Amino acid sequence: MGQKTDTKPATSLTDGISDALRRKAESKNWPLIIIERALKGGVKEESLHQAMDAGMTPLQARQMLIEERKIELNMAWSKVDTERGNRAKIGKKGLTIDAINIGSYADVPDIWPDQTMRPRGAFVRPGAVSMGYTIYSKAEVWSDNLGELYEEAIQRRWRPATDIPWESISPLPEDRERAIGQICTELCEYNYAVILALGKWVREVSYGYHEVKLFLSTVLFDAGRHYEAFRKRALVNGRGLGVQATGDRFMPIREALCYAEMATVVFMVNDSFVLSLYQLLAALAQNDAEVELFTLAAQDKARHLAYGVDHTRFLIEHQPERRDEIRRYLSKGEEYVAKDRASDTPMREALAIHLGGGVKHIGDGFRRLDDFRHRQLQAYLGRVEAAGLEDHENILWPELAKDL
Amino acid sequence: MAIDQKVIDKLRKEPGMPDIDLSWLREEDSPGIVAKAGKRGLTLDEINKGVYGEVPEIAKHGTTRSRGSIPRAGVMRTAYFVPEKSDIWADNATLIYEEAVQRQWSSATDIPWETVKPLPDIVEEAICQICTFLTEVEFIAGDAPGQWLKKISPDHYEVALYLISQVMDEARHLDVFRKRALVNGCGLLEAQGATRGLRNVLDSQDFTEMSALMHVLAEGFVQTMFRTGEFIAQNEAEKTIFRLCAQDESRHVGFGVMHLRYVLEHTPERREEIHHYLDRAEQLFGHPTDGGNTGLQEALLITMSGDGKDLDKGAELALALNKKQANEYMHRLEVAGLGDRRERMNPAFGMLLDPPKN
Repeated sequence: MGQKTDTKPATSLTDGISDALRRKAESKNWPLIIIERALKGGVKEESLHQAMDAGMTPLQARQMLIEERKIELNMAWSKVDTERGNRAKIGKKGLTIDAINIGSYADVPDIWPDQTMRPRGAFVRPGAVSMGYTIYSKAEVWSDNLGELYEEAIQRRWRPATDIPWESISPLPEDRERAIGQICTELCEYNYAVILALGKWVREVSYGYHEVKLFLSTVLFDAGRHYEAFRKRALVNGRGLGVQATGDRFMPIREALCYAEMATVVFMVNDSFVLSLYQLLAALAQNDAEVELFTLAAQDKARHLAYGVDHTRFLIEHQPERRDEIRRYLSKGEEYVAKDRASDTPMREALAIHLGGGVKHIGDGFRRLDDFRHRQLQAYLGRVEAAGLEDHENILWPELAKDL
Repeated sequence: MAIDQKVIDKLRKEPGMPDIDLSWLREEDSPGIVAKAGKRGLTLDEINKGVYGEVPEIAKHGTTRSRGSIPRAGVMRTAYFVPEKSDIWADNATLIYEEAVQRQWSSATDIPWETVKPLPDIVEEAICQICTFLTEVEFIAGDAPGQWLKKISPDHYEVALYLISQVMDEARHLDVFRKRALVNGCGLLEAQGATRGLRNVLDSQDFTEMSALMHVLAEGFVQTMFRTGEFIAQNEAEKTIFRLCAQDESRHVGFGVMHLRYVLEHTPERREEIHHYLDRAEQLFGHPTDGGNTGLQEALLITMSGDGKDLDKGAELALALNKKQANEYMHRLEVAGLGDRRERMNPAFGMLLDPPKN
């Protein structure tokens, strides 16, 4: 009485495998799943003991199970309630990501309700675990041109190793070679800063907005290719890399606490100024390699900007209460661009040498640089306006406004 | 000094000339280099010469400074990077990156979609179930390397470029399997939601842990499946998809194997730690709480049977695929220097191994 008795059942409650059978399976390295399947398939426990004692390998057992058991499919996965009957059409540009956005698969909800890795339009059973994303708001990340930009990025892929006629680069006067080396050094760093930023943010976007993840993957790939290509240009003609960038303009990118902030600073502010610079460098190219290099880079950058402008417009249209918030991100980006320009003497002088055609003409180069800054700023303001933020010149960061 | 000081002094006296410094032009720390394009063009290996090719064992700065450029005082830090080269490096990173750039393909135009014709319902559903699964796992395969990018120092930029190429590849895989599911009237079916095995990859706190789990184990298994895609594919479009994806996955597996080898050669004391990661990952692969991925298993039986009728044939081929996956996994571990894994491999995989060749 009151004495504890060993009530442990001979058979485990969870998987129907007796302790004796379990011990033997473990000692013979038989996976328990095989035992479980065999028992469920009607094989007697005694037969399994005999098989293991006889030295049968688990693989032989599995094969035997396949041979002896009539395979019955569960097929529950094929009966789930997902939309059927749509056939995506192959168009002139092939089977694009927009072409498969048909029926309910095209419904991109304003708030994605699912924390799992369920693709949009698929079914997931209850109980799936969270994947830890943080962005579930369409307005935060979306633009309507994502599919088009993604497919274009893939179609217009280029290869720095073989698509740039490197052999067209002949020795240049040292001042000019070092100027382009300095410019490329800084562009490498900008692209690396973008890589670090997107590396952080792509992961945060939930799967309901897969078009965003796809497009950002191409931006990452472009940034990697630009880093690679500019490094190659700096190292191909006798001088090498120059002085490290100040890093000032990277600070608001690094500090961004929400996706929209990062996207505004990268895709609206910095990319706008960088696109103008790529276009300038293509116009000033000293050989066919630089023409090709900066033209292709500008083509890529134009896509990033197209996203930036459309994303900002989408965000403001759908969350108009965030208009002033976005303006503050623009201002912060502008502030650090201005700060960077003021403190980055090597870059400023390298551009002046490049624009002037050599250090002896640097004075002329500075005058041309002023003109370029003006055009650069006008282009930026045009893009801000296209994004739905009119009259931005009235609140432009003062140090930058001087260029107007 | 190539730039004459007298010229600079004269320039400073020009009317209207802003303050000029030009000390960076006098800087002699910048070593000269003339990289020459080789047979494969101007590759990263061609420019990794002199100081530009010296990859530091420890990345000592936290800025975006490019390796070989002249440090500037006062630059604020950008990030905390993984400092040790041995924790992230693979000697084939540059080669793989260049190959990835050369071999990009378009899911919109490089797949002969017109060869996809109406299939028996059961086969079409099975293909779509496989595509649902693959679309899903390719999300993880892109997110996992992507989230490590912010920890890779520009001193080790080659690894960052490789990881970027993988993110791009996985985006294209996600996209191509989604396209296949939606091109022929069925659509997406049942997703796993998230499995413990895949969460384990995302949860990795160490780069080598992530790489061993994702590149060597998970992608290794997927790559073997892609390479046997001829048994799954029902038309030229699907064959092309599997062939191109397998080509991409080979690079990812190749990086993982060479990274593991580098780690084991340079920090052999980590061997047991790595075994521990694999112990856990092998056990979680197909963990009971994941439901054994019935949808994928059944879909493979159906497609491998050809028409969904001869399921015994499908089961035989599926078993052959499983054996191939386990044996190729073991082979990759041997190449990486982890041949002793054979003795401690999880029985679920170990039972599928052929006896060692010697």
